[in-house]
Amino acid sequence: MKEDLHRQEFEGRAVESRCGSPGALERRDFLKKAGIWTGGILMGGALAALAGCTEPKAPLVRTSGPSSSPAPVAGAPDLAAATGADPGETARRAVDALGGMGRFVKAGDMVVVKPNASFMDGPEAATSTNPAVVSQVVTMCREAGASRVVVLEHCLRGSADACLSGNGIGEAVTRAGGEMLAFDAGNRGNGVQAAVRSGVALKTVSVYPEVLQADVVITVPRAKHHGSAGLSLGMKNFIGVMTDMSSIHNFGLHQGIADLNSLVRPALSVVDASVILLDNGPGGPGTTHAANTIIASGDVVAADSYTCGLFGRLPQEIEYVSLGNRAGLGEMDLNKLRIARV
Amino acid sequence: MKSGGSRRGRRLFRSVRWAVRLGFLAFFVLLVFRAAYPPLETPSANLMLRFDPLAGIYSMIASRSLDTLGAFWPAWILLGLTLVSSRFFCGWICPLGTCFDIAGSIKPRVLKYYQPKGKAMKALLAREKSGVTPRRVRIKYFILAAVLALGLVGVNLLYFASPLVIMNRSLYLLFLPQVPVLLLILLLLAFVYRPRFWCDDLCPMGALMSLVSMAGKRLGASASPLSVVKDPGACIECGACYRACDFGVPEPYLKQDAGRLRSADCTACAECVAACPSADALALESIGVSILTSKGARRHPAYEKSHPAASIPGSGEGDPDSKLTVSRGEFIGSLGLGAVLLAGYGLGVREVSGPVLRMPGAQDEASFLAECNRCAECMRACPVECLRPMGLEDGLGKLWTPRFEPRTAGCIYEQCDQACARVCPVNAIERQKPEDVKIGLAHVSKQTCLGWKGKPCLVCQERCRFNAIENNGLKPVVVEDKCTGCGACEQTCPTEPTSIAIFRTGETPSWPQGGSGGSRRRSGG
Repeated sequence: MKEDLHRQEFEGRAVESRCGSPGALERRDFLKKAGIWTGGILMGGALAALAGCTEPKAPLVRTSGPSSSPAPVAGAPDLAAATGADPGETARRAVDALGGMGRFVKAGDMVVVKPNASFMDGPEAATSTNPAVVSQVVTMCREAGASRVVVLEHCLRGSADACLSGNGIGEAVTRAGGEMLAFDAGNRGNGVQAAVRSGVALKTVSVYPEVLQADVVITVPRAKHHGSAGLSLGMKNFIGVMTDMSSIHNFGLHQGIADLNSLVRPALSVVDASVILLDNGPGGPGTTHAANTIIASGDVVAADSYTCGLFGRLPQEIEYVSLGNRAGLGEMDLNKLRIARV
Repeated sequence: MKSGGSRRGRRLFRSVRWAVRLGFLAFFVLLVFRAAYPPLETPSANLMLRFDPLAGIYSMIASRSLDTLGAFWPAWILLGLTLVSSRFFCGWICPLGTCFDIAGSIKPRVLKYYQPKGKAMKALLAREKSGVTPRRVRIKYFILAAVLALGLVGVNLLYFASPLVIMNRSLYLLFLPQVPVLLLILLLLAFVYRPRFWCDDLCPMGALMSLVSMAGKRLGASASPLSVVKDPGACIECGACYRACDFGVPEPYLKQDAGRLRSADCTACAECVAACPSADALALESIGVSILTSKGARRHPAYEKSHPAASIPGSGEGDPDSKLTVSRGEFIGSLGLGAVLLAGYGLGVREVSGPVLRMPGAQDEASFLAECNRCAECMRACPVECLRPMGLEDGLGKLWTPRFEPRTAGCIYEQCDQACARVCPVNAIERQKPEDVKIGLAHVSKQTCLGWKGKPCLVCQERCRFNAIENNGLKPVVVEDKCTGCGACEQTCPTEPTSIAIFRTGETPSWPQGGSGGSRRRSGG
């Protein structure tokens, strides 16, 4: 008895098999196990892919931005400067003076709004656009029948979450029915490579695809001092649609801004000059001045040119404004413009 | 004796053991996955790393404090359970051990591991029985002694020695994605040589648990949560148990008295019980209740005679494997090996360059190197991935330690609430008040900075959330008191290589001479 068991065991574990030959069992066993493990590994891979562990896809190449231009309205001014203590309400009056948002946004349009939401301080610091102005613009777009209003920003300081909760723009946009799309240095997102056809220094640039897909682009900057550019206004605001913002300095800042504006042509510029930062820009803290003004214009160069006056400066002093004027992106000479002050 | 007497019962048992092991492995992987920002709080993302009693003891030795005593509570519970049972962690929980078992189980039978059969096996068993077999040198006890001894002098070997650290870091490297070389080598050896060679011969964490379980068995702890028991009366001395044991423990075969196995290396995996052809000769018990008994096909006649009522008497004395495995000679040898390892390691850790940038709250470099286990948890938790594992560029001593690379990403410590410090399983990183953080200091390279060349830029000033950069015209100037060394400026400087960079406080900045794409730090900054 003991010997029997002994021998049986020493013939190897295959004695447990119910199959014929041990060889067949080994092969089948192996194939079965290999199959199970292969399946498991593939499933793991699929799960990992679902979880977003995969590499981003190669970017598309686009060559043109939005091309819609505002519908001509007889007698409408080229630029409206509204004054008032309530920035949101003042912004609405400025746009209404141009003939209303319906002139720029058609029903079903996809709109990209580019505010300055790069800094963490609230509106009194005059470093980011007043959230009331941003939400008012979003609301007006929705009223005009926009299908989507995407508010796009590449935040400068720390994480996008920290910036948007600090300056209050994130919540304001969501409440007004817009979609906040914010990036930061840690999450630069995926851009598309766009060719700048009339670019002098900037020939190609990686931008967020939304600005190229949009029917209408609206720039909503905060007017403020800027250490290197002189003033930060509506044209300069578009640096934030680049995935690699810093790289613009390799092309020369002013020419880069002008070239970028030839790619992303805004239909409307709404400049927040409710409170302006006079020095130590763009991040502050610096001297602020309550100018209580919102400037709106379908001409981004004109709006910037007018805003220079609030700082006591000539548009010729701000190189990117004159470069934009020379490139035919807009009119810098205020004498040639019909201006409505409301 | 209740269930498991049948073949079906044994199959079920093996499935259950696989399920338990794979479940713990999946839990481990999930925790590593969820250590990504924001790191899991309950259960804490570093929970499994704190199951490592060796890391817990090492940490207290290296830091010469009891700060981590409370944090390593899972390890102390594990040690307590080990004391009253066996190295069950290795047979049931350890994720690295499970990976080895997987490697062993997918090995085609045609390539099967060497196992003595027939006469060779009989001869081997006879030798084991006569007690004259020279035991394999228990290297793992030497390694254990060396790891703990080197802790006293601030050299951390856990990154090569702790199975949990190896697993954690390997998974992080997969996420990067990089090749976890060490894990692959171990898996290859497990596949080719022996599945549990690491656990049996090398693992110092296993060695610690072996010592503890042996101590517990000598103390005669009675109510064991998980143990294999033998009834020698039913044993037919066939040796199937010996062949089935992944750890090569001869005790189930040799034990002459009834009761719990007392071998230090038994993991209570119960493979011997499942392999045993004689009814009730071996059983896996949990607090007196048998979970699995050996095959009930036949009972040895002698058993029926001597055991009218099935009962297992208390354990006796005198079985060879329960003797203290570490002799005086071996202990002295371990000290010698520690000295040799230390000398060899000392050659490897020669400082090629000075201290490197670490995360906020990192201990001073010497303490950091002593305490950091290189488990990679901090790098996994960093929301901006500004921490990267070092390679061999600064020698073996800094291998896989996290380095702050501001050119990759600036640190946002006040916004992530120091995720790296929160997940660190040991005391290598301390939480700091945001206002106390000083990682380093930014310096401007006036030769390459666009502003100093008269071009408008000042991206560094735009990006600095501490307003630590002032402009003199277009030229950026760093305000030392305000700069925290967060590196937002270095990350975004448009020139290549960067014209503003973080250096350790007091360090003299060194800039690469020309060239493009050259990283300042690779060139030894």
